[in-house]
Amino acid sequence: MPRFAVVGHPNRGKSSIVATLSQDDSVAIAKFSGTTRHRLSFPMKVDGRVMYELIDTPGFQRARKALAWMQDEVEKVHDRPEVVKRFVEHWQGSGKFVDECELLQPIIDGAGIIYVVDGSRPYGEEYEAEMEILRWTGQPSMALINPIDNTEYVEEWRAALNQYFKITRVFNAMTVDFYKRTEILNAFGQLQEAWRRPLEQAVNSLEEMRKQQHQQAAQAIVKMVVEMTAFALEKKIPTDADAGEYQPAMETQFFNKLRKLENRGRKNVQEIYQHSHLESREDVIELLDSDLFKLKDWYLWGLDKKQLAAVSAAAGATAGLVVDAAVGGASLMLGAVTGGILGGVGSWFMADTIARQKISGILPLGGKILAFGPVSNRNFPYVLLGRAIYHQQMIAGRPHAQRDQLKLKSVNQSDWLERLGREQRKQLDKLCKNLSNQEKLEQVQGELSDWLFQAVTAIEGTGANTS
Amino acid sequence: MSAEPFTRLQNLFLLQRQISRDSELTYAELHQRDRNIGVAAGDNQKTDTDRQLLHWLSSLLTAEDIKQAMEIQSGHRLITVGISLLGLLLGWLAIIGLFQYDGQGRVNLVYLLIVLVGLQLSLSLLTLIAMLPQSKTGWIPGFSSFQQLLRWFSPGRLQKLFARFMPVSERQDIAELLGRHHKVFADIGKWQIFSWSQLFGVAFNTAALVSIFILIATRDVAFGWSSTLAIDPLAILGLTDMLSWPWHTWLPTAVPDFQLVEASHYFRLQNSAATVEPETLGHWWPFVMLCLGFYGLLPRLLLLLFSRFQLSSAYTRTLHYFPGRREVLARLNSAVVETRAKQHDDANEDVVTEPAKSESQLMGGALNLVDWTGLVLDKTTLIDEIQLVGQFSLAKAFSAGLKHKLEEDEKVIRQLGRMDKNVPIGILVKSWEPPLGELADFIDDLRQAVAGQQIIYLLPVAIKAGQLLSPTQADLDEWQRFVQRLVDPWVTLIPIVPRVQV
Repeated sequence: MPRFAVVGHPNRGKSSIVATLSQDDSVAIAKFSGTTRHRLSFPMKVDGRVMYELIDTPGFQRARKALAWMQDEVEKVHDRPEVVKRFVEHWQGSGKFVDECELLQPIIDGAGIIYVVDGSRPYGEEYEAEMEILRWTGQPSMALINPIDNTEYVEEWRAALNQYFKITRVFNAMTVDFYKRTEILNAFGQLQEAWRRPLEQAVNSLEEMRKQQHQQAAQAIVKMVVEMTAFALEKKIPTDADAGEYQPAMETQFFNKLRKLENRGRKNVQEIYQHSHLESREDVIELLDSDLFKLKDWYLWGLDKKQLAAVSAAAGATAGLVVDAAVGGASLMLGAVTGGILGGVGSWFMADTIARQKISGILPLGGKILAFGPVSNRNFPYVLLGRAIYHQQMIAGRPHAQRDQLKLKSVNQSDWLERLGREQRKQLDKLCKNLSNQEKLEQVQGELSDWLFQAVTAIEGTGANTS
Repeated sequence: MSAEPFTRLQNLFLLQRQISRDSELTYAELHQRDRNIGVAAGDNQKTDTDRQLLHWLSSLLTAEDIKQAMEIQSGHRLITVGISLLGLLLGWLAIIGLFQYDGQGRVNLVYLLIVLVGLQLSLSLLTLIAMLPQSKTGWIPGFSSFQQLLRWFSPGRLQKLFARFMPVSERQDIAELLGRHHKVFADIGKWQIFSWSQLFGVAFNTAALVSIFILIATRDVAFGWSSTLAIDPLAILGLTDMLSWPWHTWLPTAVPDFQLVEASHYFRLQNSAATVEPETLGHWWPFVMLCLGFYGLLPRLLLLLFSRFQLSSAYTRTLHYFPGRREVLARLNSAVVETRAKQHDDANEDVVTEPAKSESQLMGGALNLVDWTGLVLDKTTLIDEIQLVGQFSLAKAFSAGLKHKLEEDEKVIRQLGRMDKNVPIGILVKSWEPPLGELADFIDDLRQAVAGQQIIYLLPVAIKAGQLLSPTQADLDEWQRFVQRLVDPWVTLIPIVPRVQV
């Protein structure tokens, strides 16, 4: 099984690289050096089977001294790996060379070396001792230039590193996308022939996992959008109550609930991409409709005025129909027509009287319903989707080494819609229309998830994510 | 434990219960758990996703789940049996009422036809209207309200009555499943209510048919027709011919002829027995029973079959589009990829109690300088500038660290140990490089060699292309933390900051 020890000077971004490659946002990354005190293993497992292992290590603290010890010990060049091994055996547990023992142990156990330097700081002579020690181990190695702040010294480093390492790559742990990550893993596989195959399999599994993450994210987003577009509040109040009094409280409740639903959706997407520690900030959503507040009357067991009139008309018509049948149709169905009209019209005008009645003075027969929402504006699903896709892209593209708060800008609707192809747009329009009308929700949910999955995969493919 | 013996209603109920329970677990936990189930089941299930889903469900059931599912089923059975019994009872009562016969008058065929044919056909027709899909009829204004209204009168709604005999928790569970709280189940709810309605209709008509048969078999029933309006017997014959059209070829005896129609016409003030053979008046019964069978029972049976079929497809559809189903299948069929560490090192960050000063302080007097940067000693202009900034005069300068051999460092320490104890020592370091253990060792060794209270200045310097720059605050904080960890009160950090910022 391939193992890779990520080593280097203290505070040169080793943990950032490990965090990004292992997609682990809980790796401790601090601004001070020496944050990593012990080596930590990040095994990449597929169904429990370890494909490769990354090992984060503390930085060299006394490389010059360690090399001096080794130089004293060595007799022949080919003894060098053995001397490094002896060094670890000799000093381990002694309280001296703690960091060196900790970082060299996995290498003498057979791990490949990933040597990390900072491309934004100049090269210095003090790095030579540690590079020399690594060379002494005889293990396959590769250098990564991590330009933490800028790329000013990348070339200077490349020239220096080429003297010690066969492969040198630039790898910015803070900005790399998914494909750069898999590319670097494939490069790790090139270090030794036996490692190539497992690393390829690992990359395939990671790509499969990526696909799953996109699928899950699409499902989570669609679930959220469906819930938000369907969300409405209703409250029954007595007929003589003032509806205006309830309005502000209901509005706040409605708005808070929508925000909660959206936040929950965001959190789900973040967890899918293993960004569970991330905090984000986003502009609040606009509701688009100004008059979401509706006042409806209800009568008799929840029927509204129209339904009540229809019930009465039908009852009247049935009664009339019986009369018609009794006279063998001689009345030319006048009975049914008259009965229907009488019942319907009568109940329409009597509705309010009915509403005020109470059976035995307890059970009310009618009243008012205050309704807030749902947001029926046709653009609402697009707004929700636009915001969610933007957030998803930011999360999916965010390396796990980043620790700052995620700030989301407001989304310009026309921007993302214009990027869609004609067919894609047509399909979206159909689905959004169904959503607004609350039709065939189960099917829409499935189809929209599929649509969204295709869309986010395509956006990632074009690299338009974080723009 | 297998989900197979459960009904589809139970499976959906259990599925909903499991999926809502799963919302409390993290994705990683769920994926690990479900993938284990998927791997254990092997690949042969992948083609039949329904089976795979139900297998998954059965692997997770608890005893409490099974108990609840059983209660749901008995509740459902209670409603079905209750509605059937009520239909039977009302069917029997209706016939008792319609055949109220005191031996004097006759059973009026007009009533019978209105109730058993007219009313029943209209009700079946209304049921059919209520069943029409909204997507096809939505354009007709008020149609959906009318449908809702019709459904409101559906006998299937009697389920609420029977549901009262169930414990509250089960009632809520069923209600939730049948669409009051969950859109997905709306179709099942709709067709379940229709199914029950039609069951009621079938029970009603069956009871009516059986009751008529019993009445005819046990009593002498005389049928007749009568109306205040002067209706021509030919009109009645036309009606009976029309009604008996479906069976006129294979059961001609059940088709009333003109003689029978005319003979059965009776008037309130006339004594019928005097004019017609009583036996003749009984000949109506095959016609009456077939009318009930064709226009009452048969449409109800067809509607029952139709709604059962629709209910069954609603179940299939619901299972297919069940919220959360895709997620479960994805978890079952995709490998668990783990990349994260099982445990983490706690970020052990010392707090910098005192932030580093970012300005040079005047040291004054002479200073022995150790260059730990390898960048300064051979450049006189830099040395001059550093002296100017620090306001000190260079007593002696040494070079140590970096590429120097350890013996050279030791020599520097020995030399400094022999020098004037009152002259402070300054160690010039690269501000942008993190302080290493090697430097800490050097300062330790130096402290052993010089007087316990001799001042050692740590002087971080930023140099780029031979020019002095200001060290960044972040770098200085790092050095301040280093000094703090040395626990030597006579070591002080003094950054070298140029007067004119470049």
